[in-house]
Amino acid sequence: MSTFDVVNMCLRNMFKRKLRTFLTILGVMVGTAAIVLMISLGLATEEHHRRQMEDAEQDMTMIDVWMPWVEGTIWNPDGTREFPEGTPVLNDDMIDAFERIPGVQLASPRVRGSLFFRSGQYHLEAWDVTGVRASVMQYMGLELTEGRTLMPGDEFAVVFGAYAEHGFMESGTDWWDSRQSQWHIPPAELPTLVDVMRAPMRVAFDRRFIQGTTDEPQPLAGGIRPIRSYDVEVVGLLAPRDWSTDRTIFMDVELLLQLNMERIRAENEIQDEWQWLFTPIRSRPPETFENAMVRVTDMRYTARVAKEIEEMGFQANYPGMLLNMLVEGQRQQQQLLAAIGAISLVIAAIGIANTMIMAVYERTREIGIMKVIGAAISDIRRLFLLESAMIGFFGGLFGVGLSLLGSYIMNNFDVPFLQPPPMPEWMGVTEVMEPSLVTPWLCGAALLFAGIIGLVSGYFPARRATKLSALAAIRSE
Amino acid sequence: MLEAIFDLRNVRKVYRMGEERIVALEDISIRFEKGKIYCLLGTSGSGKSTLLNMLAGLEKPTKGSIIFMGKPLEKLNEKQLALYRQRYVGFVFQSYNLLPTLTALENVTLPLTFRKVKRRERIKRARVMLKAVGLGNRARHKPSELSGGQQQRVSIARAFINNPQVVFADEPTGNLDTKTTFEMMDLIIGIARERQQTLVIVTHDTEIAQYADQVINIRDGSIESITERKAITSRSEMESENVIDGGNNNEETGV
Repeated sequence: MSTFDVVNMCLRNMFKRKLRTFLTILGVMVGTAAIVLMISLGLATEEHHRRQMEDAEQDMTMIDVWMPWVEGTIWNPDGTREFPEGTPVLNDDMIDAFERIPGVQLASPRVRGSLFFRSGQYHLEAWDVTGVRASVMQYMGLELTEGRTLMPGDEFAVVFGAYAEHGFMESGTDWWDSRQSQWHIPPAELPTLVDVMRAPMRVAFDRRFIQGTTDEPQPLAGGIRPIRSYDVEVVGLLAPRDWSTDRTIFMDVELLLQLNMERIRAENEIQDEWQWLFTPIRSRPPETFENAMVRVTDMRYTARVAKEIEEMGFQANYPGMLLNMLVEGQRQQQQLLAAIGAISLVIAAIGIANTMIMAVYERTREIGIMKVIGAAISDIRRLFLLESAMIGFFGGLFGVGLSLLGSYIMNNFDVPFLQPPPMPEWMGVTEVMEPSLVTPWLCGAALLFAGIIGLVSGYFPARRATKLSALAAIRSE
Repeated sequence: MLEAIFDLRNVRKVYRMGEERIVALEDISIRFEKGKIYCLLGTSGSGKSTLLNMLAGLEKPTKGSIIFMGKPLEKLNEKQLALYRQRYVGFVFQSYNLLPTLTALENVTLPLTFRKVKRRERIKRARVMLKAVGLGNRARHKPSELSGGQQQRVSIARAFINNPQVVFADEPTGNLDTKTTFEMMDLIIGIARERQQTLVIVTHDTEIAQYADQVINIRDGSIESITERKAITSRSEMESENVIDGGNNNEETGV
C-alpha cells in the first residue's frame, strides 16, 4: 500500500468511530496541554533568570573561590599555613586543576595586598592591590582605555583600574581634601592629578614611604630599617566598569607575594637595617592561597562549575548565586507540577492503547479480509501504527493550541496561585515577569512527543493485528 | 493435458483439538489444470473448505506438498504468502466480506491498492469491473447500502480485478436466494471462462456443481470420486437438462 492509501484508510477508520476517536484525542490533548503549561512555567522562570543575568552589571562568568576555614590549621610566622592531613588546599596545582574543569576559561590565584605609591609630590595609599597570574590577565574580559594588560615577563608592572588614580593626593595635605573623599561627585567628573601611564612612579610596602615629602630611601635613626622602594611601570589603564575593578590596581601575583614576603620578613626576622637593605628579594615559599578566581567561557556554566569546585572542598561564590538559589527552589516546585502533567500524559497514552486494542478486536474480521485479498503484514501494521500516531499527533496539536490559550490567560489575567514569588527588590529586579512562556521549541517537542506516545501505545495493538490468523479472523463474526 | 496450476501430492491435514486429533484430509493427491473450472463438492465437515484454504495459502498441510506453478506453497513464509495471494489469487466468500468503511468502488480497488497500483489506473480498472458485474451505477455506495446480491457482485469484481491465475469461491451463493444464486453463478462462470481463469468452487449444492468441468467429491477427508463432465455455462442450459457425463472439453458455448 502506498502511504497515501494508508493515510486515507486511517482517516476513514477514525471517522467511522468519531466519538471514540474524539475522546481519545481529547485525552491526549488534555495531557499535552497540562505538561506544556507546566513546562512553560519553568521556561518563563528560566528565561527571566537568564535575562536578569544578562542585564546584570557584574561579570556573571566570574567565580570567587575561597579556602574554607579548616579546624586545626597552624599558622607559621612567615605567613604560610599547615593544614591537617588530607585537606584540599588552594595552591597552584589546585588552581591548575580548576582550569581543567570543562567550561573554565581561566583560573588564577587572587592575592590582595596594600602598597604605597609615589609620583612626584603625590602619593597613593592603595588598599586594593590585586595579584593575579600575569599570563591570564588578558583573558579576564577587562576592557582597557590605554595600554595593555599584564604579560608574563613584566617586571614591576601594574595595571590601574579606571579610578584607581583618584587615590593620589598631594603629600602633606589632608585626606578630607583629597578626591577619594568626594563621594558626591561622579568619579568620571573628578580631575586627574597624575598621568599614571607616563609619570614616573615608585612603589613600596612601607607606610613611611608616603609620610615624607620625597621618595628617596631614608635610613631612619634608632636602628629601624630603611624604606626600600622600587620603580614601577603602569602598563595599562582599565575602562570604567564596576566596583570590582574600578579602584583596583592589578599586579602579577608572584610579585605581590614577594613584596608581602618582604614585609613579613622585615617585620619578623631582620633586625639589622643594613642586612635588610642588601638582602635580595628571594622567591616566595610554596604558598596556600586564600582566594582564587575562576572564569567560565559562558555564564550558563557558572553555577555548574561553582558546584564542582564546592565539591572539591572550597567555597565558590558567584554574582548570581542568591538568584540561582531562589530559582532552584522554584525549579523544584515546577518539576513537581511537570510530574503531574506527565501523569496525565501517561493516562492519555493508556487511553490510546485501549482505543487501539478495541479497534483491533472490532476490526478482526476486516484484518482477515485484507490479509486474504493480499495485504502484506507491513500494510496491516502501518494501518494501526499510523492511526495511533495520528491520534497522538492530533491530540498533541490541539493540546498545544489549548496550552497557548492557557498561557495567554495566565499572562494576561491574574491567576493568583500561578504567580511566581516576587523577587526581592535588592536583587535589582524591576521587570514584571510573565508566569508562562511557550516557545516554538516547546510546541514542536510536544507535538513530536505526543506523536511518539501514539506510536508507542499503538505498537502492541498493531502487533496483535499482524499476528491474527487470516483464517480465524475471517471466520469471526 | 493442460498445464498444471496446482499439484497436490499426498496432502494430509490433521487438526489437534486438545487431546483429540481430527483428520481433516487424508492423503490427497490431485492435479488442477489451468483454465478449468473445478468444484469441490461435499457435505459440511467433509474437508472441502480445508482443502480450499490450503490452496489459498491460508493453512499449511500437516504432510505432503502443494505445488503452485512449480513452487511448493507450504515452504513460503507469511510475507511470501501475502505476495502470492496478492498476485495470483482472487477470493469470493459466502459472506461477501467487503470492508464496511469503503465504497463499492474502493472495495473493488483494494487488491490493486495492496499491489501499489496507481490510483487513477486502479479506479479505471475497477469501474470496468463494476460495469462487468452490472453495478456501474453503484460505485459510490457503501456495502450497507447494497443488497446481498449486489454485495456479492462487488466481491466478484474484487476477486477478478487483479486478473488472478486462480479464483476461489467458498460457498459463493450460500447466503443468496435461488434466483440470485444462478445469476451469480452465471456471472462468475462467464468471467472466468472469458478470461480463461482457473476457478475453484466449494459447495455442497449439486446444482452448482453442474457449472464445473470437473467435480471432485470429497467425503470424510478423502476424494471419493472425480467426475469429468461437460460443463454448463448458464442456468438456461441447465434447464434444458443438456448434461453429458464423461466429456472432456471446455468449449465455449454461447449463452
